[in-house]
Amino acid sequence: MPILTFVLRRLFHALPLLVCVIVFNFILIHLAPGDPIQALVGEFPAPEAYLAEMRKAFGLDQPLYIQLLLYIKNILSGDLGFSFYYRQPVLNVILDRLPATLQLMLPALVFSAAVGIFLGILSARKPYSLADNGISALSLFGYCVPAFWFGQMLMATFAIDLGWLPSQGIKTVGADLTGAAALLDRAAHLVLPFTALAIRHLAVNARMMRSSMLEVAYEDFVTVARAKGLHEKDVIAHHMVPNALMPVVTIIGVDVGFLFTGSVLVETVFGWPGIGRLMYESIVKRDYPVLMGNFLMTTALVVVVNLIVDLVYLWLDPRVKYQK
Amino acid sequence: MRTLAKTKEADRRRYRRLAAFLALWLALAHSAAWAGPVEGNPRRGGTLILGIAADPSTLNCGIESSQIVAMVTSNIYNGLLHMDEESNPHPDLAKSWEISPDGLDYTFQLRDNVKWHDGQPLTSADVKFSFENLVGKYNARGREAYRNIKAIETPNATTVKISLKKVYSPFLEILTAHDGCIMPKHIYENSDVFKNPRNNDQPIGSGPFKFKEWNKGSHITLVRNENYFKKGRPFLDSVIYRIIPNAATRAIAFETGEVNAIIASNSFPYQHVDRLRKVKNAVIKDIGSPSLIGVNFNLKGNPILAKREVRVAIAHAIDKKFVVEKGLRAVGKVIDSVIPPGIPWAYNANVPKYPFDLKKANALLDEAGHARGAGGTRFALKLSFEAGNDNAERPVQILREQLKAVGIDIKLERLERSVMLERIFQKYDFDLWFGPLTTRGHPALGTARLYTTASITGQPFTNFTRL
Repeated sequence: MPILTFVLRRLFHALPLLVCVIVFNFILIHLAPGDPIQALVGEFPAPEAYLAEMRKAFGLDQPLYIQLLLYIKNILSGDLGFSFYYRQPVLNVILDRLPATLQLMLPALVFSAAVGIFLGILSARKPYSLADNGISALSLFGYCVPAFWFGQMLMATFAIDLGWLPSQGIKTVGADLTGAAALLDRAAHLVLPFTALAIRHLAVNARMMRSSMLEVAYEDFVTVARAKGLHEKDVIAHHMVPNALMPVVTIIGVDVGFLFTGSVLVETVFGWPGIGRLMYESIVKRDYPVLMGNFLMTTALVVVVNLIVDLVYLWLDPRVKYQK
Repeated sequence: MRTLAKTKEADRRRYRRLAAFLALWLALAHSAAWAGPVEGNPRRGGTLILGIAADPSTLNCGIESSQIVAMVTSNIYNGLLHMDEESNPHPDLAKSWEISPDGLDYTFQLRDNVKWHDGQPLTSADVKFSFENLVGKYNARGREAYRNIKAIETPNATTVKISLKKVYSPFLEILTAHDGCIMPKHIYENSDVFKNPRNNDQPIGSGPFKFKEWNKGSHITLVRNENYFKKGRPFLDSVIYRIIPNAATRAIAFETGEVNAIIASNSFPYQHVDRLRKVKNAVIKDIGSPSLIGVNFNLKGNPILAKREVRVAIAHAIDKKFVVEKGLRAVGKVIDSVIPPGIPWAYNANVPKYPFDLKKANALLDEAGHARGAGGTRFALKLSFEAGNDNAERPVQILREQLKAVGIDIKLERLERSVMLERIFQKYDFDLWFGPLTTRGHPALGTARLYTTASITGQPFTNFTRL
C-alpha cells in the first residue's frame, strides 16, 4: 500500500512539471522565427488578407497567452489539437507513429542495458587487462560517434557493399509475408537502425558500470565477503553488482529521454516511420500542434520511466524506504 | 497609379539568366513498364517501387495540390485530360472536347464506360461536383482558372459544358489529374471534405490503380484496377511509394534496388547524382515541366539593386555555365529566357543575353557610381538561401566567389526553410535570394507571376495547400 501512495504522490507531483514543460515549449516554439502559414504556402508572397484569414482559421490570430490557455484547456479534456499539415487530430498522427518508435527503442534500451552492464562487469573484473582495454576503446568509439554518420556507414557497409541487410524502412514492402518470415523480415530491417541507436547507450552503460564496480570493489563489505571465503563469482553477483547497479539504473532512466532524441536522427536516416521522424518533420513544417503533442508525450514518458527507476531502487536497495 | 504599378512590379522578384531544369527522373531500365506512353513492348505485371521524400498530407486531391500529393493521387484519380511532356492535351475522362469560337465555352464529352473503384458509374454530375465543391474551390494552383468559371451545365450524363467569364488560355492545362482531379460525388457529398475518412484511407477513384494500404511514414501501396476504362491498362500489378525522408538513404535504396525509381524534384537526391550515374542500368532523365533556379533581386528594399546597371552587371559577372557544371552537378542547363525550352510553343531563344563578361560588369558598376573602395570592394549584399538544400548550398558558394571578382562582397545567409519563406515572402528582408521556381506547362501559370501583379490579388500556388 505505501508503494501505491508513493506512486500516486509522485504522479501528482509530476503535474506541475508537465504544465511547466507545456508552457516552456509553447513559448519557445512560438518565439522561434518562421511562420507556419508561410511554411504551408511555400515560395510565394501570399496576400496579407489571405494570411490573416488562415491565421484566424488556425487560431493563430489570438494573443499568445490566450492560445496557451486554450491549448492547456484542450489538453485537460484529452484533445492534443489538430495538425496543420495532416489535417487530423494530433493524437491520431502520434499514435500512428508510436508503435514503430517503441519497436526500435525498447530493444535498443534492453540490449544496451543488458550488454552494457555485462561488459562493464567484465571490464571491472580485471582492470587494464586486454579485455578491459578493448571494451574501453569500443565504448569510447560508441560514445563519440555521431549516430547519423555511424548509421550511414553501417548502411554503406552492410546494405550496399555486402548486401546483407536492407538499407531502410521497417519491412519489405510489396511482399506479403506472414508468420516467421514476416518476423525475420522485421528483424532484418531493425538491425542497422537498432545498432546506430543503441551503440551510444551501450557505451555509456558499460563505462558507468565499470567505474561503479571499481568503486564498490574496495568497500569493506566486499573485503568481508571475500574474507568469508565466498567464491569470486558470488562476490560479484551478490555483493558487488547489486550495489554498483544504482547509478547505472539512474542512467538508464535518463537514457529513455535520450533515446527519443536519438531516434529523431536515426529514424530520419533509416526511413523508420516513428515519432522521432515525425518530430523532425513537424519542426520543418512548423506544425506546432504535432510538435507540442510530441514534446508532451515524450515528457510524460520520461516522468513515468523515472518513476519506474525509483521503484527499481526500492527493489535493489532495501535501505531505500518510500515513506513520507 | 503608374507609380504604384511600377513599385508593385518592382516587388516581383526577377529570375535572371541562371536557370536549370530540375524535374528529373531516374529509373532502372527494367522499369520501362511505366504507366503512360510506353516505348518498345511493354510486359504485363510486376511492381514498381518509387522512393518519395515525405508522406502526402492527404489523398484528397480535391483539397490539396502539392506535388507529393499529386504523385500518388494522379494514379488513383483522373482528370478530364492529361498532358504530354510538351503540354499538349490528350483525352482522359473526356474523350473529346470543343471550344467555342469566342473561347468562352468548353464542351466535354465524357467516356461512357467509366466506373469508380466501388462500381458506381462516373458521370457529368461528378465533374460538376468536383469543380464546384472540391478542386474548383480549394485547389490553390488552379484557383485563378476556376474562379473564372461562370457556369457548369450537365445536359446529360456524359456531357459537361463549362462557360468562362473571360478568355483564359491555360484553361485546359489545369484540367489534368494534378489540378483538376475528378472526385466521387457520392463519397464527398454532404460531408466535411476536410475530415472525410476517405482522405486518408480507402479513397475511391477512377484511375488505373486502386488504394490498398498506407502505413504512415513507411509506404503506400496501390494495386491494379482490373476494371480500368482504358482496356489492357495499366501494365503494372502494383505501385508502391516508399517514404524515405533522407536524401542519402533514398539514393542508397536506389543503389541496393530497394526502390526502382525516384521521380520529381522534391524527391530526387541531387547531391548524390554522381553516384547514381554510376549505378548499373540506371537512367537519369529530364521529365515533366521544368523548374528554374536562380538569383532573385529585391528591388523594394535595396537602393543599389534598384539600379538596372547593377543587376545587369551581376548577370554579366556570373559564369552561369560553371555554376550549373559545378554547383548543380551538371543537372540542368543555362537558359536565357524565363520561359524554358520545355514549353516549345512559347520559348524564344532570341532574347537579349547577358554573357559572362567581367570587363563589362566592372564598367557597368563604375557607371552606376559604385567605384571600388578599400580592398577593392564596391558594396556588400546579403545572399539568402535555404539551409540544407543542396541545390542552393553549393551554387551560392560559387556565386560569392564570382561576385567578389567584380568587387561585390557577398554575405551568405543560410536560413532554415520556414524562416527563409517568412523572410523572403512576407518580410521582404533580403537583398538577393537564390531559389527555385516551378514554371509548369504554360507561361501564364508559372512565369507570369514574376511580371504581373494580377496574381497577388488571387492566391499563392507554389506548394500551397490550405484554403
